[in-house]
Amino acid sequence: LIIGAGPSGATAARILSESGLTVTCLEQGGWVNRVDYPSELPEREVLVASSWSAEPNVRKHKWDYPCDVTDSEMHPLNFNGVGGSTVFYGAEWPRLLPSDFRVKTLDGVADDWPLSYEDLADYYDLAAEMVGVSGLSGDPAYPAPLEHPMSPIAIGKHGRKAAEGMNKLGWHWWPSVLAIQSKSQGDRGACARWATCMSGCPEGAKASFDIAMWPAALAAGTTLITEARVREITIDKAGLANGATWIDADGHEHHTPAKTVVVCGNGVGTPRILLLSTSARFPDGLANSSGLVGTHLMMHPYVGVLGIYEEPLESWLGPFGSSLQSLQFAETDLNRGFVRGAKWCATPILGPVDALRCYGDLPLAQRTGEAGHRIVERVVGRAFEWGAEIDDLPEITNTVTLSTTEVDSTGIPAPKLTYRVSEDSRKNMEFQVDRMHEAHRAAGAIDTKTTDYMPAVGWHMLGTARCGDDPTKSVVDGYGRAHDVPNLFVLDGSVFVTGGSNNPTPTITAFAARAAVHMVDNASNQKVPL
Amino acid sequence: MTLQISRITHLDAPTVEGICLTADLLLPGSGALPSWRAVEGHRDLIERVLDADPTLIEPVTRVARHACAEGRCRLEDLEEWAGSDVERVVFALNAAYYMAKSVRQIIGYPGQSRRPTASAGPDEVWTEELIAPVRARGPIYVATPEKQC
Repeated sequence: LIIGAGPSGATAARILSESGLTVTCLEQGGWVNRVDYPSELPEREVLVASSWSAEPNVRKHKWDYPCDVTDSEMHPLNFNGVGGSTVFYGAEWPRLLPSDFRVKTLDGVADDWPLSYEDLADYYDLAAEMVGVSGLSGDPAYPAPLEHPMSPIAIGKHGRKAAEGMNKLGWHWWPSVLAIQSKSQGDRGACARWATCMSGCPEGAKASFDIAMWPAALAAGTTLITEARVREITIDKAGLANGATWIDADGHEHHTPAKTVVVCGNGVGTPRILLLSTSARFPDGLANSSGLVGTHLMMHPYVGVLGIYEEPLESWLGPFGSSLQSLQFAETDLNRGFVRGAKWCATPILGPVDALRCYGDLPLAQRTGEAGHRIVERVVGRAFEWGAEIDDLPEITNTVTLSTTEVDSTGIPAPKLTYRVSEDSRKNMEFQVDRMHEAHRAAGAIDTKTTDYMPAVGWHMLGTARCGDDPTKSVVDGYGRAHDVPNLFVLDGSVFVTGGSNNPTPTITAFAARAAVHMVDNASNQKVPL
Repeated sequence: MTLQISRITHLDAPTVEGICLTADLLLPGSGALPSWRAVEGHRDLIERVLDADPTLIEPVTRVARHACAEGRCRLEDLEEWAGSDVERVVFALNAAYYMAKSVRQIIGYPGQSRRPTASAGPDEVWTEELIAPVRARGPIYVATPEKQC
């Protein structure tokens, strides 16, 4: 039984079903047909700021649960439906770096993962083949060989401009590796550079997992039950997971029995379910004898620097989130005054509303009236943003707990996030901002502007059921198996020990694939309820 | 899930006049760009925005009614009448105005549209010449250490 139909749930469902196991998946949301995406509508920007927002507290759809962010400096972004947040993601597909798995050994902080980059490498390759990844082989930021199934997407005029600046400084850049097809396959088209990746790809080029993974899982026999909100994972007298209790769209309660339960709700949804699943054996939440369920939340704070250029760059063209990336400052250099680093991405600035958003920190008088018109005339088509995703170290005080004040539409307590941006992360952000200004100036920008750290960029929710070999310091092992409950698995971003600075979905998918293969290989030894 | 937009908004004459007064402040036009009134943002365009997000109707009409009653809208008026919704009102009018085809044409913005990656010209793609310096510098990653602490 899998809980959650996002990237890890879809990947596990496909591999387990294709291996002949009987798989049911419970998903609290439903399907979105790509013809219903607002990406082709002139009103897209209005919808993206309201009913099609990536922020569940803004979107407020019946599939969503609210998130209590009263004590959080970052707000979660997600999508609750088949495919999970990949319906909205920018499909950036960079692997974690080898050093990301060994932060304790290399930098003396945080912890090492119980697996290495090399342990995951084959599964990164497998995941890339499964969803369709485009990119340029040979990136020197990674061990060779690193190849991709498809050739890279065009980087655009703004991408070339960014690259020229980086070359002048002698800094690393590379065309972004993307889970976006550069060639048509089946009913999925090739990238047509709509730049609406984060409101849904009308071509089906972007590998949102509803179209890139679920069809194969369903064809292999997975039963997917939608609008099924899990309230609790149940256990038997021996302490083994034996199913889940869930509530349907009409408010009726059901129980689905299972021999094995796989939780794939990601860094907020998963600890919420585990903490809700209390019993005499697990009074503090299922699989929580360590007390670590919900702790060590990481969210990748983001800062950006806008660069405006004299010449037209047609910067409304995609892909969006990223056409170019840089890992120049991803590794630790203690001379900078902080550990770890950041991944950069070059992101186009689209239309007038997007351009004005970049100036939202100015007083109204400086961005409305003729001043507003001048901003639009100057920025639209001539600007892109260098953005930095910060490797925020795991802190035990950054947590997901159960809210005592908010509940979802079925009365289940909402998750409460408590997240503070650490001093190390702030130093990291300041350093990256200075370098991004330099990069723009080297590329010939006529003006640059810092996009300050914003709370509503919490795309990456990681670390809240961390993996490890020591049951007192981790929740699950390197294959996602709960130390406390041998037939309970967690396969999503919750398992991250450190977050790296790269987008996590490739690693989430590779981890899930590796764990699913391990489950199949060891099925005959798997403890199950009688 | 569907995102069908229902056409529900029909603004009365005083509200339209109030929106125009507000837009005189926010979107007066520039040397190149026409004014809100010139593109008639107060007709179909603002209604499309309000239909797309009906939660904008209340703050926009509230400000508009104040403006109509006062016969003007200065920045301090807008901030007072809109209160905590001021950014949403500004957003609604900007979104409507910049949907106008004539405005988009002047700033050269075609809107988000289809341009296949396969049709990209040589000035839109990476080349070996461009990336040669990156390759020449060689590996920059820190390898997995042989021993863990």
